[in-house]
Amino acid sequence: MPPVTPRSAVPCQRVEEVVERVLSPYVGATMARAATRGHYRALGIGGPDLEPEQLDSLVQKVGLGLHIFVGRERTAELLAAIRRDLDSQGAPA
Amino acid sequence: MSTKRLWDLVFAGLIAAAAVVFLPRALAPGSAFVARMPEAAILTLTPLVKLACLLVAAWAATASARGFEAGNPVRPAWRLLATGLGLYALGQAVSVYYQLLRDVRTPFPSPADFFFVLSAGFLILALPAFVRAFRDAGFPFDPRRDVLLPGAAGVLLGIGVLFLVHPALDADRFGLAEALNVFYPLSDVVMLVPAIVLARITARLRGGSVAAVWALLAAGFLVLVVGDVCFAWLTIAEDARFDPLGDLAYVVAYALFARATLRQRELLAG
Repeated sequence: MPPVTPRSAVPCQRVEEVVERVLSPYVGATMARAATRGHYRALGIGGPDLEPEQLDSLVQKVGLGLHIFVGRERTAELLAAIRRDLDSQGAPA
Repeated sequence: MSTKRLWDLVFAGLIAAAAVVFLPRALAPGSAFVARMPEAAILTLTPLVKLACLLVAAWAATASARGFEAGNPVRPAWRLLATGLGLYALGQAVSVYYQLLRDVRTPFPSPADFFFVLSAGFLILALPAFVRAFRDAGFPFDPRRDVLLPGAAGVLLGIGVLFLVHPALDADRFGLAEALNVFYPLSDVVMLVPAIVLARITARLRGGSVAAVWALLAAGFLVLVVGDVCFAWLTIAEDARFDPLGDLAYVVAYALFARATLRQRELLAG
C-alpha cells in the first residue's frame, strides 16, 4: 500500500472526516466512525494532530479493514481517494 | 436502469412470485385460487428455479473468492461458501433429474442427500470464517456483544428447532432417512449460531453496501433452516402442508444466496 506522505501534521478531526467519508458508503457511517476511532486508540493517537507516520499507519489499518470487503484493487483506489482528499485540502503549516 | 437495480428487481420478483404460488397451497390448499394454478408448470419450474439460483450463487461466490487476493482473510470464507453452494447445486441437480427426467418425486434418501450432507459441512465452516475475517480486519469487535449474546440466541433457537424435529428420534425404525432427518436440523442448529453472529455484525454495518451482502447471506441461512424444519416435518408428520412451505423457504433461501453473492461480485468490480 503506498504511503500517504503528507507534507506535515494534519488535524485529527479532518482526517476523521475524510476517512469516514470514504468508508461510509461501504461499512456505514456508524462503523466508519467506530473503526476510525478504534484505530486511533490502537495506534495511541491522542493529540490534536496526526504526524505523517501516524497517518500512514492509520491508512494502512483502514486498508486492512476495507480489503476484506472490496478486495485489494478497490482498496488501493479508496486509499488513493483519502490521500487526494487530504492533499487537496492542504496540510496546515 | 443499472444492472444492480435490475438484479434486485429480479430476485425480489422471484421471492414475491414464490410467496404467491406456495403460501396459498400451504394455507388454503382447497381454494379456487389454488385449483386454478397451472400445476404442471409449477412442478416443472420450481426445481429449475432452485437449481438456477444455486448455480448463480455458486458461480458468483467462486468469482468473489477469486476476486480476493491470496492471503486476504475473507478469501477462505468465500471459497468455503462457493464449495458448499456448488455441492448444494449438485444435490439439486440430482433432484431435478428425478423430478423432470424420471417424472417421480425425489426419493428420500437419494444420491442428492450425499451432496446436501457434504454441502452442509462447507456451509457450516464458511460462516465462522466470515466472522473471523471481520475480527482479523481490525474492526471494533467485542466477543461478548458480538459473539456470546447472539450466539446464546442462536443456541436457544437451535433448541427450539430440535424440539420441533425431535419426533424423528422416536421413530420405531431408525434408518438412513431418520438419520438424515436428524442430521439436517442438527446441522442447521450448528449453522444458526454463526448465522446470528453474522447478522449481528451486519447490523453494525447498516447504511453501507457491504451490509446488504452479509445481511442477505445471514438471511439466506436463517430461511434455509426454516426450509429444513419444514422438510423434516413433511417426512415426520407426513403433513402435505409442509411441502409448499418447504419449497417457499428453499426458493427464498437460494434467491437470497444468489443475490448476496452477486452483490459481492459487484462490490469487487467497483
